[in-house]
Amino acid sequence: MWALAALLVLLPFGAFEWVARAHGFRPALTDTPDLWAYQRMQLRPHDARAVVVFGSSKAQLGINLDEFERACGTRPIQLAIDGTSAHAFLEELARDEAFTGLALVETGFLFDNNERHERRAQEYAASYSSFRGSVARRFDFRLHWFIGQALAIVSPDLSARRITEAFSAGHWPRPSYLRMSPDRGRFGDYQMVDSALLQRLTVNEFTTGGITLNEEQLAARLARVEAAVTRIQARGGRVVIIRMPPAVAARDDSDAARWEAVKAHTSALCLSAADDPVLASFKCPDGNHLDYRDAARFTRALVAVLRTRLAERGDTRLQ
Amino acid sequence: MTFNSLTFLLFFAAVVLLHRLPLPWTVKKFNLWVASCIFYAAWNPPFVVLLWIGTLVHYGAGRGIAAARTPAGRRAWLLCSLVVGLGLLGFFKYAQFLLDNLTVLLAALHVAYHPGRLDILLPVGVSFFTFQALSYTIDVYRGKLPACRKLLDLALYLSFFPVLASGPILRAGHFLPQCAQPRQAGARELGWGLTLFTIGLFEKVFLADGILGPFADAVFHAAPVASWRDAWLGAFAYSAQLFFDFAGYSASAIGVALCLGFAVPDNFRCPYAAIGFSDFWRRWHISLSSWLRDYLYFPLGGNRRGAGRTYLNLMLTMLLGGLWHGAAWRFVAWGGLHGLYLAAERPVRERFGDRPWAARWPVRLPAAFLTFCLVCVAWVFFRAPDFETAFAFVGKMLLGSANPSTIGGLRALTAATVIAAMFVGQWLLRDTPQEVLWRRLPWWLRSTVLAVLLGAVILAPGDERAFLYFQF
Repeated sequence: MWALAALLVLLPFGAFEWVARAHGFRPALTDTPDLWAYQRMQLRPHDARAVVVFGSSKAQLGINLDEFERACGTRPIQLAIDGTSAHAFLEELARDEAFTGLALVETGFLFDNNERHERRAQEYAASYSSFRGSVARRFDFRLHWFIGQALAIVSPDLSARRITEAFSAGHWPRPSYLRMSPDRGRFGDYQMVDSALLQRLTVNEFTTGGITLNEEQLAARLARVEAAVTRIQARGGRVVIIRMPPAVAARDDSDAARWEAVKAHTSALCLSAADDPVLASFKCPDGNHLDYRDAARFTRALVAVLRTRLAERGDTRLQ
Repeated sequence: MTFNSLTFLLFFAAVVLLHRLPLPWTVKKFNLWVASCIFYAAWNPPFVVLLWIGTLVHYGAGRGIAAARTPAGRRAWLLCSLVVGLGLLGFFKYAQFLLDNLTVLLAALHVAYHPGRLDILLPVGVSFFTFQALSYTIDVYRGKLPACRKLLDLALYLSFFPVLASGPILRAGHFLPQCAQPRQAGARELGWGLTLFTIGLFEKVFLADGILGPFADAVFHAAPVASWRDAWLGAFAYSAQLFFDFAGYSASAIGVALCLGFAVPDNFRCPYAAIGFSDFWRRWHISLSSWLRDYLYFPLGGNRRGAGRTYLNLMLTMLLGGLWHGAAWRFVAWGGLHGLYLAAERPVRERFGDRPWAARWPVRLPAAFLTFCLVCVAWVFFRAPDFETAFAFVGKMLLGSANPSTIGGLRALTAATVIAAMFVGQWLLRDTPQEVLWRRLPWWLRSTVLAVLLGAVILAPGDERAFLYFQF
């Protein structure tokens, strides 16, 4: 009885896997708080050469971890999270006295006042402490991690929700243009989608979804960020605040104004893609993120600029 | 480490394999005890010490009761067991609740008292193993059970991993004799154990977490704008979610125990097909309701001290039963509501219970549905975050609401279908044991059903959630 049951499960699932792969689906992981917590745990203590990336999806899609490693020998830990602000994590890193490396803080949503972003950041931060404390959870995560990398049918592209959505929209499920590597690097292939449509969605999101901090709130946020920066840099760490290639105009104007405020209030090294002719030449096909092909070239250029700017401050950790 | 995790599957496979090795019975029991400690430590390692302390205290109390020469000595040992058991439970589960209420009380007396939060972490399953421990010492005190001589047997009884986190609450008189002789599951027990485990996982992962939970969450989150229909559907969905979650856990626990050769009693018997509330409590969380009956309701006098005292005993038992579920007045209100239901049912049952027409299905089916609806009303106090939401929600269910329905579409239809199928299924199978029904099916159909259940578990939508009863 059990043999037949196993056969009845394995055969359809095997066929499903084969068909999925034939249609371009590949094993992919879902970005979960556990995956984030696992990556956070990879940050080596007291390692001056450690590099960690915080921020939103702009950093997750824009910084190519392989290229970064190739350019300077250090593989960054990718801790940017889709739709969150970096300040909560920067503060968490500041409290971690063992961190003496380089923190790259991308400014997307850093100066927004968005309850959803805050909630998500809190969820991830809370998850980290419980993940660290639970052997069983870490073991369970590794099993899911292993399976997620082995089977296409457990990828988020073939989740029940995606399949239902695809059928509701009247078509078969398609592989997503977004893909994530096990170390949370993300790749956006914008040749697979209608970029103009995505740009319209981005404009809509930025004009309706973003809640800008008022002056008083912005000052308070800047003070919190600066306190974290000071604490990290006082023990030999380094913080670089990065403004990625410009987003759609609806977002970019407010970003530019806030960028000036950031530069005026922080002791961190500030680096805006808009100020460098090479970095500024990159365009975001969806109005907010880089295509994975551009992300590789952008990362190489970013490392070169970073290396120079850090060297100007006597910091040779990326040499 | 929950049953619906991959880690547990590996752990379980390793334990079963180890248990089937040709080792002496004492070694096998020791292995099971170590496995149980590992299982418990997976949540929070230091709390294993609590289990060990509890085991030593209750073992010592049992031996002390048996050895005491005077009634006062026996009472002293029982008191020791009760103080330690209820003291640990009270500290971990109710300290913050008591402190909060003390603060409110003092404020009402114009005494300003502002203590900080205690931030006490609740050990998983503490309510369950405390009740198991107390039933052991009370039974020894009552002379119903000899004191356990082997510490390992009692340790295994109190920490047996299949039931450790959420029951069923074992009785020493049922479990300890099973420790006396070597036990190993035969092919039949192993097959049925794995089947129960699979059914339990399906109920939890697919039905409770995948379909009903997200729907109930959506309704309760939108409670202020819920319509009459939304409110009822949400309450039904939560009731079904709670059933599939907890019955799923119990089925898995019984299945896991059976694979190791141990029999664990049923915890659910089609509760939503109950006709009346006394029937409901004979079918829902049976191990808890029978515990409350034997160790609380009967000692209070049960129904032998007149009508007034019977109602008082019923109410007290249900209020404390409510409080057992959680340190919040909402749970007490839920227990009180069930106390009222039981009290109201009693005269009706005495007057009409033995009439021939009362045994006919056109009366029984509506009575079962009415029972189900009233049980669902009570569950609102379980689910709602506070009294305000609960009363508003119940108000919408009972008095109606002018709001238009906001919940619809495929999700509502799926949830409604599962709820209807659950009610009809439980009604049709209310007196048929699961195993009897299973064995009636031809083997190829059993294989197909298992394959469908396993497939559904693998493809289940929704997040991984802990079992709801872990919080109790």
